[in-house]
Amino acid sequence: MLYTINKSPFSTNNLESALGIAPAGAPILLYEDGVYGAVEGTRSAALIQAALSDHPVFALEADLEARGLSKVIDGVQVIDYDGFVELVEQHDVAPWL
Amino acid sequence: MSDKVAVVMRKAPYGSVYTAEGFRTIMGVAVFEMDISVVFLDDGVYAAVKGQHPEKLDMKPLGDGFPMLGDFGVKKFYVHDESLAARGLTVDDLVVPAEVVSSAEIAKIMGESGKVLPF
Amino acid sequence: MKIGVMVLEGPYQHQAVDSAYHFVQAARARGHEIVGLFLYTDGVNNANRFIKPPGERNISQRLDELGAEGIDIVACTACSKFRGMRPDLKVEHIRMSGLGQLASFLREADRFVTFGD
Repeated sequence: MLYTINKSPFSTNNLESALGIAPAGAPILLYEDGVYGAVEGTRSAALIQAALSDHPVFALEADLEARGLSKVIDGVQVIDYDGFVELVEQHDVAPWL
Repeated sequence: MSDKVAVVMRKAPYGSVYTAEGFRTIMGVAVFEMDISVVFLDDGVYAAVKGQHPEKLDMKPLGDGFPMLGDFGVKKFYVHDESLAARGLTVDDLVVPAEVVSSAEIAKIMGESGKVLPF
Repeated sequence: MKIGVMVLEGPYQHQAVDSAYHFVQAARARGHEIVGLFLYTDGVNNANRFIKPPGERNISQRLDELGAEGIDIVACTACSKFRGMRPDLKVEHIRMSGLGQLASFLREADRFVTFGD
């Protein structure tokens, strides 16, 4: 199942909560304000860095660019909406709103 | 084509509309004979605590509705063990006798349902 | 693949409907069928035909265009009543229906994606 997160890890526990439920191997997609979780050098970066050993992690390019975010944690895969749809082709979706 | 759906309640009641709409969705969709699993997780466990009295807010109590969902064929209620513990609650504090489940079991329930409606 | 979509937030206040729009366009570009787009809770406000944002994307017009292109876009009847979204305020290619419609979208879809707050 694809877990989609749209909140900044600085404002809610949604990222932590989703990572606590998602079984190993489940892909994680950060989009909308969720992309702040993909930025390197932040206080929350450790969450995604740890998750990367168990999950493929994706961040939506349009949302990163809109927010002026270019320094993405090593290992996070930046994808466009086409890539988002491709993930949905491969997995059912668990939206973590 | 599948009749299965998991309604995952992660938000607290009254402060926003989602608990009320989650409940309305469960009932509205159950009428059309969908196979529904209801999951209380994170602040969503507060949706099902006993003793809700929103009369002074001029709102309808949201907890009262869950026990009657059985009449609509909704029988599968699950509550996340860690979310209960984190809030100092036990399943006895809830309006429905939900099955207490682990994170891994919640992932399994959602995975088997295939479709997840978040409220 | 058949994909169903639900939107839980209104126009401009939250990115949800924009994300849903871009997702739907990308899904169609990859050859998927959108079985339905369900506008729920404040999402029904995206159907307002009087939306006129000066110099900005027109969200209801965008949805109207998707509807005209054959996507079944449904605004929840009860949510519309709660918010005064009368049928005559809607753009042409969005219709109103109840949760039975959501149930059929869920049943028909291979995948279901919700955008919200």
